[in-house]
Order: sequence, then structure tokens, then C-alpha cells
Amino acid sequence: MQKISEFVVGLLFGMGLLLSGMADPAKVLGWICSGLGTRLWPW
Amino acid sequence: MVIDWVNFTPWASLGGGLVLGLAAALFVLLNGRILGISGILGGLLLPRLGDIGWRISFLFGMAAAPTVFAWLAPADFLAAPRIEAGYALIVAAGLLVGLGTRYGSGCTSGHGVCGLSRLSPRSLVATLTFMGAGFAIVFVVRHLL
Repeated sequence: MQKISEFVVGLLFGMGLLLSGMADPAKVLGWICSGLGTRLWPW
Repeated sequence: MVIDWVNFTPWASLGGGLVLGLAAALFVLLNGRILGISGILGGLLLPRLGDIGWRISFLFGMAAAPTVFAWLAPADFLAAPRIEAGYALIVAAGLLVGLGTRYGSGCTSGHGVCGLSRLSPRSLVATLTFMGAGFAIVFVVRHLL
């Protein structure tokens, strides 16, 4: 039973990462750049 | 202020954060442990008897997430991630992340998700440090080199 619950929690965690976009490196990098670089250093 | 609209998806981020928080809360309730992915994975490198099955179950759940997500989400929502780096660079980066999480006693999930929600000062320092380092490195690589 515990193993099933751990599987479900892992599944939920993975789906949260996918839904939020945190599983996509390009999106994470884009977010970091939009927060820091593009306004002050637009090159 | 310049907004990167392609990467600005607040509703999806909010939904994802809620699901991540639910998973972290369930993990504490069901397992009595802090949900830290690096710790769960790291525990398999020096396995102890009776402490393996739940880790593998959790990781299998994470590995199954893209398949289940693809069933539930609209067809164009989940694009294949694009990594602009070779295998050698990925391995080197993975080693550095592993070292950092080991020295910092946690990763983004353990410190950033669970630690901050528990109002842990140690996790706040760790999260500010690795996020600050991430911002600095991306800035240097993308704008100065």
C-alpha cells in the first residue's frame, strides 16, 4: 500500500513539474532571462 | 518592464505549484519525510534494507508523469523538452548539481518547495543562494560571454 501511495505522490510531483513548465529547460532559462537580463541588457 | 510572453504562463504555473504542494504535503503525511528528489534518488546509491522500495515507487511515479500528463492535457500543451547541450556538458552539469545538493543538504524540491513552506531559515538561505547563483550564471553565459 505504501508503495502505491509513493507512486501516486511521485506521479503528482512529476505532473506538477510538467504543468508548471519546470521540466522544460528552455522555459526555465527563458524565465530567468526575462526576470533579469532583457530589461537591463537587451543583447 | 519587458515580459517574455512565451514563458509567462501564470495560470499553468499556479496550477503546477498547487499540484507540487499537494504532492509534498501528501508525502509528509503518508511517509513522514520531507520530499526531496535528490535525497530520494541519492538513497538508492547506498541502499539500506527496507529503504529501497518506496524510493523506486516514487521515482517510477515521476517517470510515468509525462505519459499520464499527455493523456490528460491538450495535444499541443506538452512539447518535448529541448536541451541545447551535448552529453558531456549534461553529465558535467549533473555532477555539479549533485555535489551542490549534497553539500547543501537538499535541492529545489527539498529546500525550495518543502523547506520554504515549513518556514525553514536554512532552506530560505539555500534557495536564495542557488537561485541567485542560477541567475548570475545565466546572465554571464547569455550576456557577457
